[in-house]
Amino acid sequence: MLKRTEPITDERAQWLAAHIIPHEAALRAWLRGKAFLGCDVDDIVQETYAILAAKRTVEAITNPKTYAFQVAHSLVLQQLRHSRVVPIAAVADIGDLEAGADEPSLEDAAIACDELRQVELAIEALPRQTRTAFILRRVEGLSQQAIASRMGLSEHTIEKHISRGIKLLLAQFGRGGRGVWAASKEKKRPDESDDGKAQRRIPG
Amino acid sequence: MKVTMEKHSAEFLDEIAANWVARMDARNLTGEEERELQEWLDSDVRSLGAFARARAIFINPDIASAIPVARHRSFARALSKRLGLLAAAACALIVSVVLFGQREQVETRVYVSELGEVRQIPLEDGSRITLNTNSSLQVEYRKDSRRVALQRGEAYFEVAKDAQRPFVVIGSSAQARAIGTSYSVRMKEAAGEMQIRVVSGRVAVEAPQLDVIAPFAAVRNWLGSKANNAAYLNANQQVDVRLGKDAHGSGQIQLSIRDLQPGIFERSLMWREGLLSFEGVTLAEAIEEFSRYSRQKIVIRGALAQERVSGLFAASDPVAFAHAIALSLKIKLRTDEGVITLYRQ
Repeated sequence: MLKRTEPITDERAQWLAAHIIPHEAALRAWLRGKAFLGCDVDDIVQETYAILAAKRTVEAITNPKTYAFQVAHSLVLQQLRHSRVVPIAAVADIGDLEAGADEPSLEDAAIACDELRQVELAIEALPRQTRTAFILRRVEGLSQQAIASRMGLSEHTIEKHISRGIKLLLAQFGRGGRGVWAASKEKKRPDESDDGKAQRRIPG
Repeated sequence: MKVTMEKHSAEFLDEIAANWVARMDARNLTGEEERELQEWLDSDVRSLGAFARARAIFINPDIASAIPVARHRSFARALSKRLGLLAAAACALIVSVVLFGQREQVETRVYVSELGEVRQIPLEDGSRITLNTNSSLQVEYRKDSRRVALQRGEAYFEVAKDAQRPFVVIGSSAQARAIGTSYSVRMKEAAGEMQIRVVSGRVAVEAPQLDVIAPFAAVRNWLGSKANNAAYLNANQQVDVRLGKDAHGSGQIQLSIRDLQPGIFERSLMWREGLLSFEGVTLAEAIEEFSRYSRQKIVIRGALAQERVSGLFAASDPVAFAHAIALSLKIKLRTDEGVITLYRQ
């Protein structure tokens, strides 16, 4: 295989962030509705991203959401063809695929908003140093090197903190990740007292 | 990051992807690492997907904006802890010599605006300050920081980005640090009361004691705790800072963040052109706003205070404003010894 130094360009990552990530929750919700077909939602999503990342160009894609749904659609069909028994209901049900992609994005927005709230809570629940490092990197835009000298930690440690933060987002984002959030919420941070804890809880 | 060829769970692939993204964010990969990464990507079609998704989520701006009110400790505290250790290790004399050696010549400039005056202050780094009526501030540019102490009134800041020299506006109860931003800071009449409005970019509001506010609520409640914190504001957000008391009666700094409709701040910033823009504010509020810009007294009699007024007015011409209001509300106007009175027959 051809050796690529950059498996995915910055440009493509930005395109995915702007056009696919916002619809991932909707895509997952739609795929979950097809769970009886025996396909794994996480696998399909990862493969969808792989196909979008490997495309030579995305310029021709005018509606990225529809396109992502179509890619996922074809992956589901591919899996169905490979499986020996295809329930009749499954084939009929596939017809509403396009409908799923064309749904108004109002619900998407609601899902995305709820999701960001979950992400925020999850970030708040991160261990203190991980949270600080992650905020410095992603909100304040400091380099990992600068964060290391600012926090008085090794660059290796900062890399571990950043990696931990990303892992949390991957679990949280799209998958709902309520398990992750609930688990980290239960675990009380040793460096934090209970002061103001009740106040900080989000109403509703 | 060693992987074998057997089928892994999506979570496991995510974990490896996160490690690679964090490492590539830290530095360039070595040749050995590049080969290892490529091997992993080739081992499973989902690996590239997990990796692409991890990169996209890591750089997703929505993620950054989900963080704004996440708590984090003051870096000053971490820094002072380190300096404390340093001091313990070294002898006091050496430390004082080091500190003395680092002392730099700091030039401080003071800017003052008169009642009704709006001043433009271009700064050498390309940032620009617009000073509103009856305000004063002090500018201190250092090697490692750009500090503005707002002593009175209101100012609008358009900040040139410089990650090495944070731009900080210091008020009586809190400071507002720019992260590539245009924002305004206003000191209210009451002690410790401030208002910060972000037009673009992001601002970190920092105070010795302030706490996080429930996110995503249209109006957030005043809250406070003993923690040493920053709250992040995005564009079209406004924070009101005030001094308050906690449950035990001790003083604390409290803040309230609101999301406002896009465009509202731009209108409210018309003062930079010498204009005041009102949209459905009460007559009492509008008159109070005019009083910031001139000595002309406008008095209202009767139940007119709650009447709503809208329009664009010259801040320097309260007389024209009063006449326009009298006309639109169909009320009377009288001038006695320089004082304008608005009243209903």
